Amino acid sequence: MSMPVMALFTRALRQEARLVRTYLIRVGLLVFVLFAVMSAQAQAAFVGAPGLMFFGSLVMINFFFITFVGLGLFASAITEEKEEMTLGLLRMTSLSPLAILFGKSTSRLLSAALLLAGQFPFTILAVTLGGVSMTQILAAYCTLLAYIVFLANVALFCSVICRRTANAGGFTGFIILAFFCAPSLGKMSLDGLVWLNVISAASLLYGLFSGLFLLMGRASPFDKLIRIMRTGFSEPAIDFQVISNILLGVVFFLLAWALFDLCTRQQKQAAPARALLVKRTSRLRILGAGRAWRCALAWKDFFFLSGGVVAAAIKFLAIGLAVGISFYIAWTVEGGRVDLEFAGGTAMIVSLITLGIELVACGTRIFHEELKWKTLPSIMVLPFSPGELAYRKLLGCAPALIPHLAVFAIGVCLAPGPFFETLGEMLTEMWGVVFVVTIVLFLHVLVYFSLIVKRWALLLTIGVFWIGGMIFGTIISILSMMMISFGGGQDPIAVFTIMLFTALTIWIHFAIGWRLRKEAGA
Amino acid sequence: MSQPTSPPADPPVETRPILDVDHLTYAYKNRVALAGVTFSVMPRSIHGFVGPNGAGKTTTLKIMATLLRPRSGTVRVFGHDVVTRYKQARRKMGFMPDHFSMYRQMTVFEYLDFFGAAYGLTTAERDKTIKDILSLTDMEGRQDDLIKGLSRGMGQRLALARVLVNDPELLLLDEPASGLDPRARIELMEILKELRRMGKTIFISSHILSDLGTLCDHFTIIDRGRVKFTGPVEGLLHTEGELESYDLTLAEESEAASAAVGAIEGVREVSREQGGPTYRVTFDKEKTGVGAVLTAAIQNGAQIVSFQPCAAKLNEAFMNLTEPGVPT
Repeated sequence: MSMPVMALFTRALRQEARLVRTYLIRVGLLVFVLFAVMSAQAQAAFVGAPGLMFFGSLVMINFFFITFVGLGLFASAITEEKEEMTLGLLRMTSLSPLAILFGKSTSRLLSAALLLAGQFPFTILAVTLGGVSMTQILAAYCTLLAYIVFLANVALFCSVICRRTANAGGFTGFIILAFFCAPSLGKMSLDGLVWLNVISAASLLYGLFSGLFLLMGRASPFDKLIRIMRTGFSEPAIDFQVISNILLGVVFFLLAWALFDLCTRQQKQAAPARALLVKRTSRLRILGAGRAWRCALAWKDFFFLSGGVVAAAIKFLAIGLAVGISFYIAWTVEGGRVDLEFAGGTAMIVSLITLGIELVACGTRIFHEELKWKTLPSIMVLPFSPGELAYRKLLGCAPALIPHLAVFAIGVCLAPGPFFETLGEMLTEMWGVVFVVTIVLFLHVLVYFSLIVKRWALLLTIGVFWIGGMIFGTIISILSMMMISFGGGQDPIAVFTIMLFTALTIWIHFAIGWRLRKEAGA
Repeated sequence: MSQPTSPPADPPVETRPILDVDHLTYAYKNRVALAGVTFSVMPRSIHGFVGPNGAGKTTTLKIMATLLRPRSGTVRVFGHDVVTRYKQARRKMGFMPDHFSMYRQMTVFEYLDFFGAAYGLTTAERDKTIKDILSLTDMEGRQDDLIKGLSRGMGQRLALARVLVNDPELLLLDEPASGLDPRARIELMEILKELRRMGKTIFISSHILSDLGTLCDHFTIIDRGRVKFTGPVEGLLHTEGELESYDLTLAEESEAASAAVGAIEGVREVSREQGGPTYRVTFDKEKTGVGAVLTAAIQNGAQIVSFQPCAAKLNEAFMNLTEPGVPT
């Protein structure tokens, strides 16, 4: 039966069913599940409840995978049409907004759900390994399916109201983060207010908000999964979390539908964001990009990719705020028994996390943006080699790291002892160097993937490192055990890892240059 | 006793080609895009590069602009090989691709300032250069506009301005007039003529033969990766036989001038074109030439606006030289 409202939806499903990629992903996932089952079977002699361990790790991997996919795949459902200026063409057809939403988003949701459902029969094998019951498996998959419905529709809503995929992804991330953190942060704030005698623990306000935060906590799929993994879990598979997540998903879908017409009525030309950069005609021109530096590519990337001085200042304040919140949480939990050294440690950890996020963002965007907006040929004809071009662009990303490094430096000043202790350990232990080399390799792989795929470079990189890490980790574990049994240390393995990763990094380094030349001429 | 022979002297610099394309080949996987393309571009000329879709125009331009490496053959820009000495070659030329690729979040000034700095110009040099090229492209009032707000015509002007930032001697323009309305196209052609007067050499690829007919003094016609014709525009029209056709546009209608031109021996036909005081003059080049036609018109009081090979003849030459159908 042909229904106009389902036309795009069925077309999307048919299209996906014809793609070889779809089956490769499914087969890859199942091979991984079977590999994990076999590993758990092999470990059965050494660990208790190997089935639960295998199942727990699989469920958590699925959870994080869904979250990452949600931020990318689902959030681009409508924005990709906006960016490619094709949404107007879709709207000119007889397709209704509902049909477009079904076709662009619900089809993706169904594909992701199918990917999850495909694992189910194989996951039941975990029962035979021991430590996990059928109830737990059913409950976990129901939780994940409900979470997918919620996430996909939150992302769809963001995709409808935002003009760019990056913004939609960011907004989705913010909502999801708030969804997960609000119960605990809210409860802590409430307790803080009680501790400061602002409100009473017996007041109606406290009771109301406590109840609300408790309810929000029960809707969290993460908390539910933690509960499922506990031995003796016996809650029903379909509970408040499942129902609330699906209902919230429906609410966000309805919101997206209601706002679709309003948000897509005018087709605006897609262009990269200028963000907070003011023009030189403005009174606040000191906050603008000013004149191009001698190293023009660095200037361009600092101001027009990383956001310039204003964005750096905002990042500094945001990291400071994150440190403050973390410190406040610890202070509340510990009842005021935390010192400046703890604050320094918090600043270092938070700034390292944000530094990682910034590096990943730079790595994903540094060349991808040039490809996306077709500007690569115009810079590739500048009188530089591809290598020089890449390094000059990297130089532009460097100032964007200053806010993170500044907070880190403050952390070092507050807690010099722990810092130098950790640094010393890293320098003396070979594995510290392995860690740094791995990060450099990760960033190179990320940059390379950003040049060959339109989207999901980060997801692909994480996937490659995850699977590669599992295989390489197994080999390294076997080698380590062999070395130890022969009375040797682990240093030769670390040196081998460093050499291998460095060689891979150099190889990818040249591959990036080759790819840049290819893309410029494409 | 015979005179001692001296080695042949180098031709004067002005007559040496500044761009030499020699037996260029390129293939996309198994599809041959260029099969031994050879031609050269003379200094201070406007060289039209014409061919049907898929003929290999953009591939040739990308190789010339150092964006693609040829399978075999060479391209030399001012003697610099575009593969081995690409940095020197890039400094001598400016390339304007066929798509609207700009940093749309920048203002016009920021965009030009960025490319000026990338080519190593000082701030003072950039100020002067940007002022000059904005004046040339008639964009003086738009320097603080965001690029994303510019019309297609303005965008093409800005793209041309960007190409001029490093004052290159050779401009490679890929379909600069595509997507422009007639006014914007005419204005762009005027800018290109002005650039030639300033001593630039322009290599321009386009589908719009009527534009090229009024602009170019040399042509290369390419079809299915092979050069079908290369040389001065007169040579292209000669391939048609002994007759040449020119469009003579006067400031106002002049029957006397028309009659005088028609009376020249060898002139086969003088026909009035519709829509203005333009006459199509067809003559036998063996018996007379453009000089005689122009002299007769001027002597009879005509004020000449333009005198150029007629576009219809270019169309015919193009159709005769290229094969029908789209290459697969």
